[in-house]
Amino acid sequence: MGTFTIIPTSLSSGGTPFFDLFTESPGSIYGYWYYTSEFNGVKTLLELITSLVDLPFSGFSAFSEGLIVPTTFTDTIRLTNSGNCIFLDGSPVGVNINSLPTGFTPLTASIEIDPTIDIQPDIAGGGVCEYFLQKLAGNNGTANTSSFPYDFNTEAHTMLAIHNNGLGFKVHMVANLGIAQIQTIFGLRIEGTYEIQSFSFTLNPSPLPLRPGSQILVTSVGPDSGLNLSELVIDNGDGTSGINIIVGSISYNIPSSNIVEYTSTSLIFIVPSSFIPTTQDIEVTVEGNGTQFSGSMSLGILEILNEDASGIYRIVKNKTSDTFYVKSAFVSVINLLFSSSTELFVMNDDIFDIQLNPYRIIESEVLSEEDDLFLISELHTVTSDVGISNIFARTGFVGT
Amino acid sequence: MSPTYRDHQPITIDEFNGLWNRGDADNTPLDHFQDCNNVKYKGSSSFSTRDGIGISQDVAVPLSNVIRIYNYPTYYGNTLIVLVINEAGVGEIHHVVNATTTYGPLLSIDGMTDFAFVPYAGRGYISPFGTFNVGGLNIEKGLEGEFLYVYAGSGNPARKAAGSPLSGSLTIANGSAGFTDPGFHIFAFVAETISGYLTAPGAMKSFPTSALSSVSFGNVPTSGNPIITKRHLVATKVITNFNGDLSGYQFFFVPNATINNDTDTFLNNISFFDADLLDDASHLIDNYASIPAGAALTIYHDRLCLFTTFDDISIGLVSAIGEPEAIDQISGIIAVPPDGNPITNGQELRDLLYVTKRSRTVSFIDNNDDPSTWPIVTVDTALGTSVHGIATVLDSGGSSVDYLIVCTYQGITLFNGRFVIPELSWKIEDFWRSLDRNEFRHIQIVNAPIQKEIYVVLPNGNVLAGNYANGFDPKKIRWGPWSYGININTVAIHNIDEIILGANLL
Repeated sequence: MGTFTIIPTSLSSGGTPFFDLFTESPGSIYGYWYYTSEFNGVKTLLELITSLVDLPFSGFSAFSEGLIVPTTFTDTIRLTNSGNCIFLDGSPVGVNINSLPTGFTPLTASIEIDPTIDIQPDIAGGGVCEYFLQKLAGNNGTANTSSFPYDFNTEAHTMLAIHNNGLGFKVHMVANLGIAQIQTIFGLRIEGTYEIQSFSFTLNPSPLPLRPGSQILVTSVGPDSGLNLSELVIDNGDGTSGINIIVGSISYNIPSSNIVEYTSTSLIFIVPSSFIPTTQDIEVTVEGNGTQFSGSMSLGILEILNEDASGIYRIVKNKTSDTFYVKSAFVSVINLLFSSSTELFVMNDDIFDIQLNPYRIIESEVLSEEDDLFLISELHTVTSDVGISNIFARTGFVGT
Repeated sequence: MSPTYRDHQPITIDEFNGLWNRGDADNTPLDHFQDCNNVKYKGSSSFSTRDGIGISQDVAVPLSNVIRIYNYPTYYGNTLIVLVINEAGVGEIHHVVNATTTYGPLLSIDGMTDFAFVPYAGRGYISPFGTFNVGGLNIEKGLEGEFLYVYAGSGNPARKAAGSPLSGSLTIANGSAGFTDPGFHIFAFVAETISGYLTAPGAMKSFPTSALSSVSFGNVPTSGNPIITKRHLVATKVITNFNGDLSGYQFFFVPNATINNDTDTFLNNISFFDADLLDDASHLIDNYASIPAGAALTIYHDRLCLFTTFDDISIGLVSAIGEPEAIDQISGIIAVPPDGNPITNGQELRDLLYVTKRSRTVSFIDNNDDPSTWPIVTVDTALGTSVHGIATVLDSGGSSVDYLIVCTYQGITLFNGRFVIPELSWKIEDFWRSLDRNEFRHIQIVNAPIQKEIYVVLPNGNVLAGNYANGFDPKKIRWGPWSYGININTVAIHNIDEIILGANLL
């Protein structure tokens, strides 16, 4: 389990009027915000936002003073998160929401401010001085409480939602005549804990050799309910999807029209016509729609070590199909994604039941700290009969 | 019956004359396709799906990653010689005898990404070559430090063609009563390989013969090489003023002076007169002991011709007549004026040897003298071809009847001593010109006269088929690309009309 902190990056609303403490004219305004820049000398909003990284030495202050008549000052600052605003495990280097490790799953999250909030109310004078932390706009926490936790039983349990919700800080002050009230917050942020969840997949190409028109079946096999495959990006609106086949430096996008099945546990797509058969490893990557994860992640690698259709062929008169060599068939992969946990992931024996026989594990290889790779290979040399595809003839322009 | 509409005349399309890819697509003639794939032409005007392909090897471990296939006619049948790249990236040559029998690897060479091949008298001559990038231009030339190899066809590994001369300290003495022209002679032995190659004379030694004595030889060197089957005695005529240079004189084969093995170390009682010394062996002295590899091989007037060595991309090495491994390092060289482009091909047609570069064609004619004296004539200064760009016809290696089909940058062109314009691929000019010139080495073409079809392997792994059943001219030939979903990169024609395709890995 690790920790994360989201430091807001920009002001989206509120904070009006907003003055530099050193330039405002005291007494002329009865309710306003100002920068708390005494500690690091920031002078602009941008500097202030940037300096928030340097917790807790900067923040926002609200000021209200009833110079003439009792005044009420209520305002909410809304902040948004973007760019490299997420800091994992205390790292000073932020990462983008799309660059989070695959399988990143928040366990807890809360809006936080530094508990040493500086409140200078004059309650004795009959005034009011309250603040409220916010998740979504209008979603206020308990007054004068420096932590506002998410409840994943009722709120979206995704990092993307937490990130996109932003955060806010509302003040409500009533100052009586001649009474000034100031409250200053430090380190407005989102904090939480996370884990890298493990899921596994099987990638089953068929028929073989893998070529345009072949289908790849992706099956999610846990743990628990597994990653929900229906939470992938299957249509970018331009005919492309978030699913790609990557061979070396070549990436083949799967057109959304090539996705033939799309459920929470299985995904079937057709290898696009632009795909050139290969014996190189084929990596299947998907993009999450942000519900369970965001950005692109690898579903695993189709190790096509023996996926070999090369060889010597002959043209057979009046033959209506192409027969290809399939030397040693393919090597399917069960890729245990996101298994950064030091605990050994126990693979359910049922996982083998979905494989066609005969297969055997031919290799177990630790690719990295995150990936354990099990290769399962068919042992026989076979041939594959494939109908001749991509047949067409377009005549000359007939006219209108 | 087609419905008719007012002011509109129905258009009947009852002829399909293939792909038209030339100029604006809107101008495609109605009897042509502006685009097509995987169709073949039947009869005079119809078309259907192309024929499928089947596997050619019925063995447990068929060859993979096939790079190049040539026909290899042997004494016992039509076979294939095949280059593959193995998992370690090393080029291997195999001999596919039939669907169930494959020999090899006959030859394994790191860096061999292609090879030239020519069959001769049942043997196969193999020259490994590769592609080198010179200033952005891919050129093909023989591999550095590699040689011409000869394969006997029996499944044994190929060996270097030619061979080194024998060496050793010959002993010579007068033999029993016999006859010679008395005087100072130089003797030597020539080894003969299993493929008939005669090495340069070796183990030279002088000896003054006596008139009434034969000559006996001891300590005759053996090679220890199983390819040596015979050793022949060679000798000079009487030398009156020896200048000390043992190799500086004309040698002749001594009649009836052959050791028919590579084990005996003696040859006794040889008698001969100088007048019997008729068969000149001097030309062997300057022969290559190892012939450098080149990028193209052909046979012309019973001579083996090898072009484009690693060290010189503008020369051809031409063997002695009937002795494909005997190439004189001086008189066996022909040269095309260097222009930075390598020689890519050589082909005989109408008694001339045509030699091409990628954009140039010249011819040589055998004047019954040494190849180095053959006159060169420039045929075309703009058109040439690539290393596999001359159509193979059956197992002939090149010409069909009286013409060649040549893949030039201009298009697929008939060549009958000059390039015939318009080219055969005139109808698909844009298609052809869209091909990457720098990848023309991938183009391989065969002509199947029985089917009346031309098959061209394209750099993109597809095949361009041209059907000339309606006539062998630019307007009647019907073109169409074929794709297989695998990367086809070589083609051969086998057993008269069987089209063989080879696919590699990407």
